[in-house]
Amino acid sequence: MVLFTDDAFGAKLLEAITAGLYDGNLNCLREYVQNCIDSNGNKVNIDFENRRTVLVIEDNGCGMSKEELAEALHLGKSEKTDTAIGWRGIGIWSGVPTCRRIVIITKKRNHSKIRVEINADKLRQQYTLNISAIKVLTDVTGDIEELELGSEESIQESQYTMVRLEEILPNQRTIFTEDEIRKYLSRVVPAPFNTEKFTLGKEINKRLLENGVKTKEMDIFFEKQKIFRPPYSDDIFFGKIIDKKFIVNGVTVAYGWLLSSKNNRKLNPPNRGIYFKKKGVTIGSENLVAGLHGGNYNQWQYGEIHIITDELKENAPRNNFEANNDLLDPFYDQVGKFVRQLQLMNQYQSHNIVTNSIEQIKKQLDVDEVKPAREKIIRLKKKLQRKRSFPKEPALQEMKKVIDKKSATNRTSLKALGKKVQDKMKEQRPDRIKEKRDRFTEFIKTAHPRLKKHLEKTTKKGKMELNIDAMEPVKILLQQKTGLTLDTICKLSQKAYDWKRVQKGDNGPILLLSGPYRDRLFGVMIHALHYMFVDPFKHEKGKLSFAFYESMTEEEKIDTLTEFHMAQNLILRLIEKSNRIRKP
Amino acid sequence: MKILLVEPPYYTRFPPLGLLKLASYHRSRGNQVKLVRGFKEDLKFNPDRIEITSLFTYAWKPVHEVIKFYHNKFSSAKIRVGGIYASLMPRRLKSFFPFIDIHIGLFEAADDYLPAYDLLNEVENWKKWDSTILFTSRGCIRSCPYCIVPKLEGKIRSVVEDLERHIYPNHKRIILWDNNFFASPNWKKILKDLQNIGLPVDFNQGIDARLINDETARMIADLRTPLIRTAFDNLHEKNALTNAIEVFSQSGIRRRKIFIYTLYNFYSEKYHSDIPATFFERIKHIADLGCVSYPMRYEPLTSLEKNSFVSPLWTDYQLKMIGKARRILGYGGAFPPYKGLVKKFEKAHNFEEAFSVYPLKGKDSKIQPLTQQPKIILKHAT
Repeated sequence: MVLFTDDAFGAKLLEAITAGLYDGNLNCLREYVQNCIDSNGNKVNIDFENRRTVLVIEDNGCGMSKEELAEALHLGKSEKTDTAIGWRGIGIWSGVPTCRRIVIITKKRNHSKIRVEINADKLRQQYTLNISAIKVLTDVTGDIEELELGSEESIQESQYTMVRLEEILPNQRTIFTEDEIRKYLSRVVPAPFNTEKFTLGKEINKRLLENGVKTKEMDIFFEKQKIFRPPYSDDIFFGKIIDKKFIVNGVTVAYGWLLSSKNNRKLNPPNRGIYFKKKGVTIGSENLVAGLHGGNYNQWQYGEIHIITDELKENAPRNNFEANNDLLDPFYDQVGKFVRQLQLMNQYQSHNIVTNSIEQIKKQLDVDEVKPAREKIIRLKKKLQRKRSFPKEPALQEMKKVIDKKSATNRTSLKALGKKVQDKMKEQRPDRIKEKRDRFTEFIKTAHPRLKKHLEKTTKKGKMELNIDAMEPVKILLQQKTGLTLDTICKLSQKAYDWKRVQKGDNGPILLLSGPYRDRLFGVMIHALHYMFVDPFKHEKGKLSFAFYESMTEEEKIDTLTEFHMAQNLILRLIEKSNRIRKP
Repeated sequence: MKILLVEPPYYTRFPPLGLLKLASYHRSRGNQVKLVRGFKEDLKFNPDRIEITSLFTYAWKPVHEVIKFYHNKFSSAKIRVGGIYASLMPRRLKSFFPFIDIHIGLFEAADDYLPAYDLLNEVENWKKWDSTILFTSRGCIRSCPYCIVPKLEGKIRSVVEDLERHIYPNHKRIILWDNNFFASPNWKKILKDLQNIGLPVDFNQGIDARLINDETARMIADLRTPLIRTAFDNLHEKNALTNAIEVFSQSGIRRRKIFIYTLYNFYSEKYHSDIPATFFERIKHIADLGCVSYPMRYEPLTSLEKNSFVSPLWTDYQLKMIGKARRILGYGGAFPPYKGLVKKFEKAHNFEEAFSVYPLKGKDSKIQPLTQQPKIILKHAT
């Protein structure tokens, strides 16, 4: 009994191998570019047409005859050998989810120019129908038609293949943008390095060859611009290339090269990530490699791990490898451990290299933020004193030297910065304050003898502050002048000057300066000064009379102090000039 | 292969849609295309084939001229001419240019392609073009004797299913060229899609007033339409038109936004022909409705000179009166419902009074116009 006939394969299968297989929709580009590479041309042009509604992928490879094209349309059959990148024979259909029509136009030498059109619209509509896949494929694929040659083409010489994704669907237009396509291509297809911007590329190419990595690099142009693969810059990396061979059971499975970031921070795409490559084509994303190590890995490296052995095959969507062999698990294990070592190296680097912080300190010093800079330097010095171990991975040992060397330069520049900070701090003690202190001492020299005596006593102790003694000279002078005790003076003057209401009291002033009105004000003045600064009930820190003073800057304090003593000086002189008019 | 697409330099407000579709068709076959309008000396393009379009028959001269010009320039290139003039008068064209191919009618194979609007960037006239022109249906349910559509396109059929993919990226307006949108079997879905897309929509070929009801009017009112075009070509469409305008008005469409094309000078031995009196009646009725009337002079389908045909039921003088009135009394060739104009039409006793630019005096006013005499609408061949 025949179990399987053509009817055994339903249309629903077709969705799985077109839409389902190539998860991201740009992945069809990879499939078509691979076909271009396999066709042995040296150039691929990818261009938009009609305001990004059509995408054309054209190579100058060998093209196909009618029979070959018919064969290429078959699903899951491929005549391609192992040296080719594509080998499953489904790539042609990968564009089905993206557009209304896939058109293939091809010309082989000494063959006619032919064209076939796949009605992708119709195919998508028939995914869900319960009919035979063969029927659907026949229905949606047009006949292979011969096309007329233009006067600039020749039947003998012309050869090319052009794939046209026509009328890209509206819901795909956000993906099929210039930016996205350029990013995608540079990440995935076997493009060369831009060795003008990435000079290390030359050395890497050499090492790849030495280690048996054979890739057919192609000149791929998108919208007339050549595609290069990352990285695109030298100066973000340490110049040291890390080599790593992955050997399982004596078989070299892969060769990898990596560059490590100079700066202690995650690199930015596209110059970030470690990628598996097979025959130059990227397999999976940066997360595939990063994820093989269970823990956290901060991506401070860019690198490629090229699969050398043919035994390790990529799966159809090219997002991972086939697991049907003995190599994959031990290989993945090795890669995971290696990533762990990289992470340890990153930690070592983060500990020993403080370039970023040094840059910050320099900036702070430029804008005279001396204090925070000084604190930072102290912290960094402490950090650098602590020792950390370096991973044992032999491939990374050279990097230890590089990092240590950098660390040493860091230390010296940190020292230099420390000195600079000290100089700045000396410099920064402002001259004005000094000037004002000098002026104050000048003033003391010519002050009233009582005040002079008082101040000499206090400033000797080094305290240029307001305190409860501040009005002491006035009190002493008053006692002397009136011959009364302090208590009596207080009572009398309260009565005489009526401090609360400033009215003439019964007993009149006890000291006379000029007319009666001014004498009252004179008394009030003495009291006000006394009250403002030295009210014994409010002299505690933070209490009203001192609060205004405490909140001042150093400069303001000196100003206030000077002014207060000058006023006090005036009062002393006025008291001196006054006459004792009445005995109590 | 290299293919040159040529638009003859006749007057038109729209870019050559057919050529743009043809361009996409050719590109899909791996050919390089270039579009030019008129005569271009310095092309830097050596075509293997030349495709030339044509428009109304009376614009035949520019077509002949470009054929001559490009044939001289690229004598080895095969020339093919299509479009309306070529489809209607292929023998005339062939007699002038025996070496050309002529394509008659639609080129169905190219009809489904998204037009290559990007080619317009290189043509001075169309650089700023930013509207998607679209047929969602072809053909028409009617067979009006003065119309070419039934002859060129035949019975009505829907040609667009998923509207969105036919809208060109970054275009700001949709111009529908459907001959009779609401007669299309798919109109409801298309209209909903138009609402979702949200771009302004121009029903450029006019809406059949006989197919307007509450539902259609409301759906049109929900669209962004700069103006509504419909037609009043024959008096017995009066009730249908009146009804349509009422319904539009109730749906919130301003009457002044409604343009009504009004055919005149049509003559046929088999069908209703019009006379000045019935034309006047239609114009007056439109003014009463508060809408804008836009007189359209009938041109026979194979006319070789514009405005040269005079119906036996009209005089040349009367036709010129309309032309003058449109220029002097109207605005942009139309008669908007200006108060003065409405009053003038209301007071007028006959066609002459209505369309004279100056009030008729003395002798003139006593003339019994020709239109008053045979108070019949001709219907022959019964």
